Amino acid sequence: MNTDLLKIENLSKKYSKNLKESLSGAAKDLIYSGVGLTRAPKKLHGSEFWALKNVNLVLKKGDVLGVMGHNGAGKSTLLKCIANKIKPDQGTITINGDMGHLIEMSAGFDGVLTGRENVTLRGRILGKKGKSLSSYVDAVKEFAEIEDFFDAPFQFYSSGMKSRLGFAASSVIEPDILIIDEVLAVGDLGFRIKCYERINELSRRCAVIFVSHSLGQVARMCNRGLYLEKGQIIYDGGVQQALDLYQEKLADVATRKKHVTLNPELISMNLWVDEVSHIATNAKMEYGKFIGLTVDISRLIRNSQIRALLRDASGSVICDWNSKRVGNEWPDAFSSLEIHLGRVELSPGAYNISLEIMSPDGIEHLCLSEPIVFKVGGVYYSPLSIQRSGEWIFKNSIL
Amino acid sequence: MTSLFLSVNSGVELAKNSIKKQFRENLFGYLWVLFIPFIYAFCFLIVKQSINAGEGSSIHQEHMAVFRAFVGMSFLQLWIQLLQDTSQVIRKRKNFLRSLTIQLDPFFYSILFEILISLIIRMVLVYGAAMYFNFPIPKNVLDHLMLFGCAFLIVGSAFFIGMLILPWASLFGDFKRLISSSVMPLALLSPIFYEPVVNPASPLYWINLINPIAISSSIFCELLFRHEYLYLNSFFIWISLPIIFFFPLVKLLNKQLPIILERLG
Repeated sequence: MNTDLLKIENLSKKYSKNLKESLSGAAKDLIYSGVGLTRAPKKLHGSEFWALKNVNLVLKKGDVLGVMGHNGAGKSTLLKCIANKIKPDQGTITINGDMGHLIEMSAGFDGVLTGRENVTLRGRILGKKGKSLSSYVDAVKEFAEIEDFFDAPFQFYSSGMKSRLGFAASSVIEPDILIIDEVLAVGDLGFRIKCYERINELSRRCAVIFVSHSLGQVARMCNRGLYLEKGQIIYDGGVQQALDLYQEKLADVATRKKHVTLNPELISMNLWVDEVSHIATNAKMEYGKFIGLTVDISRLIRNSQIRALLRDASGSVICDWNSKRVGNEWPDAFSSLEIHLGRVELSPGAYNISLEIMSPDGIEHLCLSEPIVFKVGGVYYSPLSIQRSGEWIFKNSIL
Repeated sequence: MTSLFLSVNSGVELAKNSIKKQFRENLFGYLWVLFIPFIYAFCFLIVKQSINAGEGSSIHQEHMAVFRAFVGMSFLQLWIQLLQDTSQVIRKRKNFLRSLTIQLDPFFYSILFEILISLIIRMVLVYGAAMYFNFPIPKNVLDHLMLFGCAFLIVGSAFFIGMLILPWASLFGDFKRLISSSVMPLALLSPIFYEPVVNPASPLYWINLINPIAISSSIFCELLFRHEYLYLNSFFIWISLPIIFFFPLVKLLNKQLPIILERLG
C-alpha cells in the first residue's frame, strides 16, 4: 500500500516586516510554549502578512513534486516548515519516515576543521558509527572529488569546493522524504550532471520536494507540479500544466515590466506568424511556426544597422539577427522592411523581441524599440531556451 | 535510550572538534584555563601584601586568602564560561541547526564534556594549590563528596541558568553583554577576596545564599581551612535544581527551537 509519507493540513505561516514586531511575536510564542500552550493567531497585526495560507498537501512514495512560484510566493517557507526549521502558525504537518534535506548544505561546516573532520562530525550526528561512518566519509570524499583538499581546513576551499562537499555530505543519505531547495547550481557542468544523477537516484527510492526557478530542472526531474502564489496553492497536479501556469505568470510579469528604450518613436513594428497574421503583444504561438517582423523604417537614416534582439523572460538576450551580417543596401524608395526571423524553435515560455538601431557606421546608438512580448507553448524537454529541431536523416551506408 | 546514546555520542564528537578547534585557533590552546586564575591570584597576592604591609597577619592567613582568591576566581571563570556557552548555543550553532535535522541535545552534551575537561584541570590545580599551601586534604568520603558537590554545583547552576535564559539570549544580544559585564560584580559579591559572611543581619549573607559561586567557593575553602560546612540548604537546592529540570528543559527548548531559528533569520 502506498502510504502518505507527508501530509500537510491547513498550514499557515505569517511573517512580520518589522523586526521589533517579529521579536515581540517570538517572545509571546516562547512564553506560550513555556506554559504548554500554542498561540494560534488568526488575524494579521501591524506589518504582518501571510507567507503561507491554508496549504494542504499529500506526498506519497514516488512523487517528485516541483514547487514553483515567484520570489516571495512562499516556497522556501513551505520547505522550512516541513523541515521543522520554523514553526507554523496554524495547521499540522505529519511525516511518516525519515527526512533529508538539501537546504543550505555547506552551512554548519567549521572553517578551522578539515573536510574530513566536518564530514565525520556530520556522520556522527546522523547516527552513524564504526564501519557505517567510515563508508559514509569515503562515499562523501569520492562524490565530492576534491582530492587532497578533503584533509585541508574547510576555510581554504574555493566556493565551488565548499558547495561540492556540502552537496556530497547532504546527499549521501537514504531518506524517505527528500527536500531540495535551489541547490543544483553547484560546481562545474560535470559535477552538476553528477548531482542530477544523484537526485534522480534518490528520488526513485523516496518522495521528493524540489524547489527551483529553473523550469528545465523541474521539467526534467518532477512528475508533479505545484504552483504557489502569495502563500497559496494555485495549482497542484501534472508538472506540464504547472509549468504552463508558471510561464503564463512569468509572461504577465514580463509584459508589465518597464523596458529600457531609446528614441522608441523612431520605429514601429509588427510581429507576424506564418507570414499572415500580425499578433498582439503577449499572444501565444506554437513551436515551429515561422515568424517575422514588419518594420516601419521611414524615420530612420538610410543604411542604418538594424539588430533584432530576442530575449527570454529573465531579460537575457538569447539570439540576435543583424542586418550588417546580411550586408543589404537600402533601395532609394522604401518605407518598410520585412525581416524573416525563421522558425520559432524555443522551449515553452515568455519571450520578447525588440529592435536596436545603430548609425550606418555602427558607432552611434540611435534607437531601442519597445519590445513585443510573446509566448511559446508546447512541451518542456530541457532547460535550454533555444531548441532546434534540425533534420535527422537515416542512411543505409556508413561514411 | 537509543536517541540518548546517539545524542551523547554526537556530543562527544562535537566536543572533540571544539577542543581541536581551540588548539588550532589559539597558540596556547587549553592553557588559558590555567593562566587566568593564576593571574588573578598573583595580582591579589601583590595587592594584599602591599595593603597589609606591617599589619602582621600570619603566613597561614595569607595562604588562606590567596587560596580563597584562587579557588573563587577559578570557579567564577568556569561559571561565566559555561553560562555564556549554554546561553549562546543556538546563536553559535544556528547554521549547523539549519543545515541538519537535529535537536539541541548533542550541543548540550558537547558543552558538558568540554566543561568537564576544564573542571578536571581546575580541580587538579586547586588540589595542587591546597597541597602547596599545606591545607589538609580531607580523608573521609563525605568531605570529598562535598568538594565534588561544589564542582557539580558550579557546573549545574551555570548550566541550569544558561538553559533558562537560552531562548531570550538567542533573541536579544543584551544577555551576552549582561553575562560578560557581570564578572566583576559577581567577584565583588562573592567571598573571593574576603571571608564568607555568616551574619544574617548583613544583606551580603542573603545574597551569598542565592549566589552559586559564593556557596561553592565558601564550602570548598572552609572545608579545607576549618572543616566547616556553610550555606548547606542553598547548596542542596542548587544541586537539586539542575538534576530535576535538565530533561524537561531540554524538551522545552527543542520545542522552542523553530521559533528561535525563524527569528534568527
